Amino acid sequence: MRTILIVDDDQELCGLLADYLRREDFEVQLAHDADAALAHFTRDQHPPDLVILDVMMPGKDGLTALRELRQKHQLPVIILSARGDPADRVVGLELGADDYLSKPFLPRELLARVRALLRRGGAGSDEPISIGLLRLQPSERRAWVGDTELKLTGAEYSLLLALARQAGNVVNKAALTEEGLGRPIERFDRSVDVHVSRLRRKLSTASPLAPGIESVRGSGYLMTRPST
Amino acid sequence: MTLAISALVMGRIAQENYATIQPDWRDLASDTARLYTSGGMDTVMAWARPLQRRGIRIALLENGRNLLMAPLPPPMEENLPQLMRDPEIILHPKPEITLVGMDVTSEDRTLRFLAMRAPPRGMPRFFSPRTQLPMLIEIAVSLLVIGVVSWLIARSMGKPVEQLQRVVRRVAAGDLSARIGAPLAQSQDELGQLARDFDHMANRIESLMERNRWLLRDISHELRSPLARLQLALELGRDEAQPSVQPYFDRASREILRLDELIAEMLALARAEEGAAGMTLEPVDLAELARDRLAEAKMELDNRGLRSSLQAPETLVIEGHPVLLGRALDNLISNAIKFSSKDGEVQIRVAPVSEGVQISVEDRGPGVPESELAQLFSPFYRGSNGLRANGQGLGLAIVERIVQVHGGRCLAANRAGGGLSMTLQLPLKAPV
Repeated sequence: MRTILIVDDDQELCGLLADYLRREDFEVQLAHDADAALAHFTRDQHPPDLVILDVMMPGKDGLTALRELRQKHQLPVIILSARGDPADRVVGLELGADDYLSKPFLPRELLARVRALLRRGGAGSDEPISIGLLRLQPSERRAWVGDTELKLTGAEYSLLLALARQAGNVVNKAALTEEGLGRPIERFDRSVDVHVSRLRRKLSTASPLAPGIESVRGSGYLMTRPST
Repeated sequence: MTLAISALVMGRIAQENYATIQPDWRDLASDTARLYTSGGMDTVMAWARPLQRRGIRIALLENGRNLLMAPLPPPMEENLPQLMRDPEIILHPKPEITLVGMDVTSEDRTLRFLAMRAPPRGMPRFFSPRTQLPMLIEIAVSLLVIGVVSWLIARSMGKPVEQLQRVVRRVAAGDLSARIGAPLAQSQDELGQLARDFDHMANRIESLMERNRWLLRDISHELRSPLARLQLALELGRDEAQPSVQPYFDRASREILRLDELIAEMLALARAEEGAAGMTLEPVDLAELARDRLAEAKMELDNRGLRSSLQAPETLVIEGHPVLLGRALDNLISNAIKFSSKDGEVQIRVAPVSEGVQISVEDRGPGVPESELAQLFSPFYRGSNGLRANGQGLGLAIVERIVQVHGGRCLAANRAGGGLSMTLQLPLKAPV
């Protein structure tokens, strides 16, 4: 059974959401502030498989918690926010959230995103892929540039895999959203753009010779094959 | 200021001039008597001549007899009985005439000294021939003094005023943290007072804006949290409910989303207002923006089976607020999509016009009755065919507000071939 950690200071909402997710056969853990949430990762017990994180919390807010969490853990994180400001969405994704939902949300929508992020990597072959210095091992969901292993979040890995499989071809944003986030693209959806820009940074930090990701105006993204 | 100084200086001149004319009558009397007893009548006459030019006439009497050769001037003659009455008397038969009579003794003779002071005939008092030249010099000197003093004052005020102006403009342009501060706000003069008052006002505005911003965020949070709980509670209840009541659950769920949309739109309207208050202008390429916003709407257009077209120059840059303008375009495009019937087309045109640019978004929908066109931009206004729309009635109000803060205007018209045409006219640079 997969475990989901819900972090929200709204205890009533936590209770309802826990009921809902338990009904869908998930194990649910609750935390009402950022420190309690981070404590779930330091105990000896089995760490959660996915985190649903509220942005606005008294004390340390959700974005700070996310930043701290990402220093050690790459598990899927869905940000929940009642602000709904597009800027918040981008900030959340920049800090490494896999996906973002604003309150109020349709519970089925949340469930679909949770399942999509947990499902991961089912499709396609498990054959290792290498493009220039970049190597991907789909069976382990790990990636390297040269000898350096990339620390990628789930969504980032899925996007990298989708681009690498189609290297040299443009992959449109709708397809990338499906592959990376497991859901259809929405209007004003910048999630993929933010994830790709993080990916680019991670690739070029690992090595300036790593394959690049180009944006193709109006259609999508393209991983360039090294010319050698 | 200069006026006050010149009035002051002119006043001084007048006073000084008056003082030079106003003689000491007793000295004059004893001088006259002494000269008479020592030098006789001719000496007195010679001595009195320059006095005459200053408008002063004198006479000397002994036992009622005029000792001088000249007859008494008429005003003196007319008032003679009164002038002889007391040992010392000053009369003003007319405001500008002074008559003096007093006893004076010289070498045991008791004489009666009479004097008259009147403005020289046909000439204003100040411009008597004798005073004319020094007068002009005095005016020239005083003008010079005024000039120098004004320059000094202007220089001492110019810098603080310039500083005040700079800060006022920064606050007006949205930098609410700008303050005048020390040393100007500590000086004790009127400018210092003004600076303190301004800083006080800026503090108030800043805290009000800040509170407003927090209030908006809190309202958003406080309204959306119960909606989120409601949505979950509904979903939990739905599983237990019989199939016959499922539509009501769907309905309730949709209403929650509507409320959420309404909150979002009200926040957007409030942010447009707020953005207007703290708007910083930057170059915005409207052609680029239109291409971008239309590309964003592509999916929605495709889903509805609508075509779209864009006519725009390569670039068309104005000074404005890119986020707000993007929002205005989004709302117009959404509106056009919403009212389009199947196989319709959304047309966007961006073009320079005299003194600005014009953006129009057209649909091939049913249009709006002419009588309702003007009210289209009012908040919560729903036209008679508004039933088809599922927006909350704030979209166009937001557009209008955004255009207003850019110093432009919105026009709504029915297209000749059916459909609605929304036009935004914007100046090249938004007023701050």
